[in-house]
Amino acid sequence: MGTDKILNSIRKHRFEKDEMTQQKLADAAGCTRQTIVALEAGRYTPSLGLAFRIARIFGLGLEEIFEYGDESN
Amino acid sequence: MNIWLSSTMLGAFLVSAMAAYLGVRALQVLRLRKAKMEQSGEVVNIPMAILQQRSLWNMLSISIGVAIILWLFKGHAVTEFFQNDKLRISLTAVVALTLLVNLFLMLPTSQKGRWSKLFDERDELVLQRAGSFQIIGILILSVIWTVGLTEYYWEAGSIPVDIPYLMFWSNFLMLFLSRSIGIVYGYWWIDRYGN
Repeated sequence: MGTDKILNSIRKHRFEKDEMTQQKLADAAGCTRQTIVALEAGRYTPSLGLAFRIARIFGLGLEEIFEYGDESN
Repeated sequence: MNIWLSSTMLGAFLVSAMAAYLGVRALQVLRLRKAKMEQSGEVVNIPMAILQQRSLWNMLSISIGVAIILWLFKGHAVTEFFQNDKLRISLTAVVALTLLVNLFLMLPTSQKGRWSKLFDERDELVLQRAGSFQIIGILILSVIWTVGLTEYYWEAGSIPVDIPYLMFWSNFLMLFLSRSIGIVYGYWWIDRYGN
């Protein structure tokens, strides 16, 4: 339990979206910059609500940003 | 200068130089290891959350409060507490001030107004987990009080009336201190191993 690894491409999409800063993304997603840093570093698995909010900011679907990283990956 | 003094000074110089060299080498090795870990993605420096910073300040303020309380009791018996007005008022003031500082520092947990932007789900997760530290802290304190009082007052067969009052204050301080420790530990854990 608690070992699920959720991979994400937030950093890549942030740069593609006019080099959006972590602070701007955090403000838009309703979280702190520390959480964005932790997410990009793969040190935090977001709630579904936060994941959807981030996906919506980039105008993408959830699975285009987040993916489940199992042992075989 | 005699031979004994000069050889002692030389020895002290060599030992100090060796210690300094080993210290510098150890720092270099640690820095190199950290740099390698950062390169491989094992270590990411996540900036401190406001709750984390406040908890560290909290731990410091409670430590200072406890140190002042111990200093106030220096040279006094615990049983003087209700007889000595100066001691009682000073102690109550220190505890109250420590708790007020704590409440002020923990304002971000209220999640209202301007604090709401500084507090999010990750902080809430850490805060929830810190609750278990409070239970453990109070349990440990209870054991210390129980064993200590039983051993100390075994012959007398009863404890002074001042003690429960002090236990009450100590529980309050432990409640806040253990939460701060739990928060600091929670961030340390989540930053390294994820949630």
